[in-house]
Amino acid sequence: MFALALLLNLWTLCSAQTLPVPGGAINAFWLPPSPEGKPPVIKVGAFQAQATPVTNAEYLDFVRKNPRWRKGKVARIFADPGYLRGFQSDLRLAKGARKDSPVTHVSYFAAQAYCESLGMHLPTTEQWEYMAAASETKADASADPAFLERILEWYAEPRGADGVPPVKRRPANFFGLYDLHGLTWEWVEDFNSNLFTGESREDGSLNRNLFCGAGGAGSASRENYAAFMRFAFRSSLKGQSTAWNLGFRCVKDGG
Amino acid sequence: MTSVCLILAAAVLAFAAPALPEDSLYQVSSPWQKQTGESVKLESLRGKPVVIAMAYTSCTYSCPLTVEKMKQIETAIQAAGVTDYRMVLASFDTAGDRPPITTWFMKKMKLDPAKWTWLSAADDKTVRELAALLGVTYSRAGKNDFSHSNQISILDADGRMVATIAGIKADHAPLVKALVHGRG
Repeated sequence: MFALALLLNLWTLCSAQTLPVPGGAINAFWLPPSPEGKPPVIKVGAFQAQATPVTNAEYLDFVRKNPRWRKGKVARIFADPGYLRGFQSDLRLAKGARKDSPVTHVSYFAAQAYCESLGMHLPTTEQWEYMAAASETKADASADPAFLERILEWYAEPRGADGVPPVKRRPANFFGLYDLHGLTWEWVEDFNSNLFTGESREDGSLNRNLFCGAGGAGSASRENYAAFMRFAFRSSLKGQSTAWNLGFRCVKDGG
Repeated sequence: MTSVCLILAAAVLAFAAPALPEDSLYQVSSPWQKQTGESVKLESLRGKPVVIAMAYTSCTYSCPLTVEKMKQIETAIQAAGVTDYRMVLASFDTAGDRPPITTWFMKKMKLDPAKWTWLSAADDKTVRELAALLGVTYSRAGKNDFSHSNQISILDADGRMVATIAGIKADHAPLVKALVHGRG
């Protein structure tokens, strides 16, 4: 019995595989450009990241151990009524939902609680964009038109009839990470940091003066349209929001 | 006899602290610190309606205006005869805003500590969580500088958000109404 428990724990640990992501720099195209018109370069320290988005099976294990995050138990302040729509009941996946597909319909608060249970956290926007800038062959493909084109093609694809496909069906990127593009959108820790939301528009010209660094219009590298779609999507979210195509993965700072 | 006592004790406890509503902000248990240095959870604000905004002490333009606006709201709720309420400011700045800076700032702004509380946190995650609960957006714009939306909200005595205004120039009458009449 003890051995079995040990094995199960080991399995859980191994399946939630994390990979070291070496530190580097990223063109912060979402920030206003330098006087020379170039995006500011931001240093990203080394961190560890889960190789895939958190799957239905992994999330099921989490709610087994943490009853307050079950579909029928979660407090409304932490998740909207769409929470875990891919689950049939507290501890059962809906018919047709695959164990190895990314869990979706999870709120920010739930995703953050999941990561915390592993001693991890959601990636910051910088960390996420750094991971996602890597193509299969390059650490930074954010200026590679073919790579950006592929991401846009995926954004344009209609929702598949069979729900979200399983993880790891496409090759890993330069860092060995899977499915940053192509399956789901992912929560970031500071999703509520974009200032082109309704609140900041409220003040109109006043805020334009005050927060001239905040909007997307003045940003560098406008050709990275895919990234702007991500930023617009994030700024439409609330902490309780859930969506069929919104999942997450966790990271841990330090190499 | 013991069991009767236990049941009675349980009944008293249940009466003293009814479960928090599902949509209460006080469901979170992250650690905050009052300007007095006392460690608290948000739930410590329970029991009275709350006027709450997020700001930071080194903010020179919009935050003093937010505080000014909150003072106007306080004047209006007092004029409506309400005496049981709390005024709460929660800081964005985990590095700069700690007691005694928060105490000093409250003195400077002439905020009565019997009614006003300035909360600060050591952890950015705690601040990010409250911002997400209130619907406030912010980002660090420099060492001691933040870009943020300006928002003032009313929480009822159980920590449910019942009204919000966005923007420094917004009319605050809906907030006063929500606090005085207990709804938005």
